[in-house]
Amino acid sequence: MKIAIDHYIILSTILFCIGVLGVLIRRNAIILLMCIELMLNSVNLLLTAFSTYYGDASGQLFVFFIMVVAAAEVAVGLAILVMIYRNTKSIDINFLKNLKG
Amino acid sequence: MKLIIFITISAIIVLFSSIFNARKAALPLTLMALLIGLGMVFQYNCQCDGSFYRSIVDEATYRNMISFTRFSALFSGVMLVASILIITLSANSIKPIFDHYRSDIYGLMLFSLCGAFILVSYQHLVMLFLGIEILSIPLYILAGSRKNELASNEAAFKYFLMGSFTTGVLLFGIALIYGATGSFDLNALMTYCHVGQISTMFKVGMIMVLAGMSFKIGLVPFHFWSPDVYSGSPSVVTAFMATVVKTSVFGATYILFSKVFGVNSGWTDTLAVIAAATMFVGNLTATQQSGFKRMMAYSSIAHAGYLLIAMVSPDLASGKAVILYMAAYSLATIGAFAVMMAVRRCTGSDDINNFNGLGKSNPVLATALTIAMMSLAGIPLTAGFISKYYLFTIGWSGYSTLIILAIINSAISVYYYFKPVIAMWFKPSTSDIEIKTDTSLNIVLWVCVIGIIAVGVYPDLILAFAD
Repeated sequence: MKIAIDHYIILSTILFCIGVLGVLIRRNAIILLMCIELMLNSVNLLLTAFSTYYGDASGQLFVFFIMVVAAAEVAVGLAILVMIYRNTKSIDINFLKNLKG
Repeated sequence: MKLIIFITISAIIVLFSSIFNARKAALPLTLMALLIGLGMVFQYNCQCDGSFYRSIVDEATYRNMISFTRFSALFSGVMLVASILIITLSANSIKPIFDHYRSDIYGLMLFSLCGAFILVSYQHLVMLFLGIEILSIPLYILAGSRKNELASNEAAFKYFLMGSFTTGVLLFGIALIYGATGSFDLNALMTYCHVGQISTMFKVGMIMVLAGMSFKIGLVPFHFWSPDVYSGSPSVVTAFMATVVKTSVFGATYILFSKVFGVNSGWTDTLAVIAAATMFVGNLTATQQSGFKRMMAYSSIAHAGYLLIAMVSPDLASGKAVILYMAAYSLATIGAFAVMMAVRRCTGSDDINNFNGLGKSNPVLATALTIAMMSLAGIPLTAGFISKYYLFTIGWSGYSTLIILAIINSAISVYYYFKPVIAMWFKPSTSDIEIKTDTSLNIVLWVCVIGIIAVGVYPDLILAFAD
């Protein structure tokens, strides 16, 4: 049975929204990173679905680029988190309130 | 295109210079690489005699991924000059305890610059995404390069969080555009826009892409991160963010508009509203600030608003105006940051009260800051005035209300730009700390001041490259 493209669009939109909500609501920095991954992976799903729909490989190639870049980004993000943990002994994002004015 | 390859290779060499215990070579190597890069840009600019937007390299060689046009060459030139000034500025301003990381900092800046070059020459949405990421990922590290300072940590994490969240939004937009058109190529998107029905999916995708870009430029309503990140990051990095990053992402947005939509698209009204909101929020909030860096952050938001005026008619004239504006803005911002860094190094904070009495104790610094501030505010005979004039004449024909709002905003901005000027010349000094400068800082200041006045009196210095 063939699944229509609409289903993929709806599924990846739902996944994307879960990711966005997670970033907005959760206070734990590691969970935030996971939610951002969820956002990026919903995009991967959408691109692959469209790529198959159009019979065009460039969408799937884009997915590889996203995976590579997401890995690099998470590596940097975790490094920043480790640096913060060393200074504050916490990964709660409530420490992000010192800079204001 | 050779420029991107060359700068990448030099970035790797600079990065590795610390392994071979040649840390002292990092600064001269970086400057040399940037100067050679500038030479290449000049050569590109001489090569092309045709249209502003015709590619210099053979696009098919790079599978239509990149089209390095005269527009990209000029943008790259502005960014290279800004980076040369910033890196010269950093020669003595990196604290001794961080001297160990000097080659890393320069290497990362060069990598970031590569992303910036890609952003002003992309022809394919994959390159747009890669450009933004290559620009941003080194910057997350640079923002947090003061590892032991909590403010720097916070700035790095905020920038990272906002940046990667934005990437997600941008990518979802790109995926929707792909779904609507079946292609990532800008020419195909243009054909799609001009022929036939534009689907809702395409519009939603475009809005998400624009939201992603406005995060990076700092347009209202996506500007809230920038004052925090600007004030927490090391000053050299802040200067880099305020000039090079802003120039490149603005260039990318401009390319998207000029190539995909062309003149007279339905988007211009929306952009005019965003431009007005950005100007007002930036300028009005800047008047409330007491810290110099935060004030400059809001000022950079306001300048992004002025720049958006160019988007209402993305044609040849506005392309030139944008380049002139970016050059003027970068020179003035770097000059202002140079003075702020001297003050901050000697007094320990960037509060505007620390500028009190600088006019008597160090007239050179005070004069330079006054000229930079006058240029940012748009007082005649400075580069800021003439570039604002060119920009405003472009919008005048179709969007005169917007231009009137922009002029009101320029008047508001005089208030806060002159706060440090008044503090320097008319207020008595509160402490007896002497503000010292060094050679590299003086060189940067002189270049900025001479550049601001020269371009202000004779704008053809820069416009001549675009003819």
